[in-house]
Amino acid sequence: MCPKPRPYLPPTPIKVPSRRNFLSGNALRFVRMAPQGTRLAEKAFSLKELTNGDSMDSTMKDPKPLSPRSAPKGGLNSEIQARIGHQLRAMYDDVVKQGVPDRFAELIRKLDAGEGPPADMEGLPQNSAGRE
Amino acid sequence: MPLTNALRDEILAAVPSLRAFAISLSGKSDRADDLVQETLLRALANIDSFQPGSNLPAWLFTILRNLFRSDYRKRRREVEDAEGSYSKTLKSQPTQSSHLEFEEFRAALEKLPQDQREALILVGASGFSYEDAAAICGCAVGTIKSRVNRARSKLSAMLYVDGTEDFGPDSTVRAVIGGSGN
Repeated sequence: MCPKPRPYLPPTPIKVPSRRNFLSGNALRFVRMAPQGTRLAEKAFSLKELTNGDSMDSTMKDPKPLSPRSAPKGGLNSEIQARIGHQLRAMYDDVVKQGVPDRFAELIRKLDAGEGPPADMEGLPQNSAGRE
Repeated sequence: MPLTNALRDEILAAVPSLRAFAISLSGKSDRADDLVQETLLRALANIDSFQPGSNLPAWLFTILRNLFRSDYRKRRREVEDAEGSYSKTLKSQPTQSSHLEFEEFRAALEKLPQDQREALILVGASGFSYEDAAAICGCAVGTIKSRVNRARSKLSAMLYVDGTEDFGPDSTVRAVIGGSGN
C-alpha cells in the first residue's frame, strides 16, 4: 500500500463507518474523508503515513516554500553556528594551551607559605556560584 | 575551607582557563594577567568562604568577572592599547584559521555588548552549563540563553553576512556593509 499525496476532500457528509473500519487498513481512507480540523483524524493520518515510510506528511505540512535564499535572514544555520563555535574555542584554547605562567605558580607558592595579603571581600561572588 | 594541597592544585589547574576568560573579556593579555593575579589573591584570601565540593572554577570565574566589571572596564576606556596586542601574545596562531580571519573574529567579538560577550564565552568556550554561566553572571538561565543567541546572531551578521561564502579578504567590507545586523 503506497498512498499518494492528495488533498483533503471537502467536508462531505459521510456515514459513520462501522467499527470494523477502524481496525482494518481502511482506517486511512476514513481519515482522508474526515472534515478538516478534526485534530484526532489528522493525527491518525500522519501516524499512518509515518508507518508507511512516506514523506507525504512533511510535504503537506511544511509551510516553507522552496526558496532560492540559502540562509535564513533571522535565524542561524548550523554551519555558521559551528564556525562561530570553532573560532571561539580556537581563540580560547590557544591561551589555555599556554598552561600556567611561572608568575602564577610562584604567587600561589608564596601565598601558600604564609605571605598572604589581608583578606578583602571585594570582588567575591555575590551570587550562588560555588556555594550550592 | 582551609587551603589544602588538593585545593591549591585545583586553583592552579584553573589558571589557564581563567587567563583565557580574562583575555577574551578584556582583549589584552597584560591586563588579563593582572586580572588573573588579582583573582587568585582574592580567592586565596577568602578561601574560607568557598564551600568544599562546590564548583571551584565557577567560583573563581565569578570573582574574576566581578573584578573585571568593577575595575577593569573603567581602566580599559582610559588607555586603549595598540591594535593587535592580543594576537602578539599568542605563542601560536590557531591552526585552522588564517591570521586575518582570527583578527576579524576577535575584533567582532570585542564589538559585542559586554553581557553578550561574556555569556557566549562562558557557554561556548569555557564549557560551562547555562546554569553555571547564569550563576557566574548573577542572572537567570533564560537571560544567559538569550544573550548567547543574540551574541551568535550579531557575530554571524558581522562575519558571515550572507551565510554562504567563505571568509576572505573582503569580509571586512562585507561586515561593514552588513552593519551590526538585527
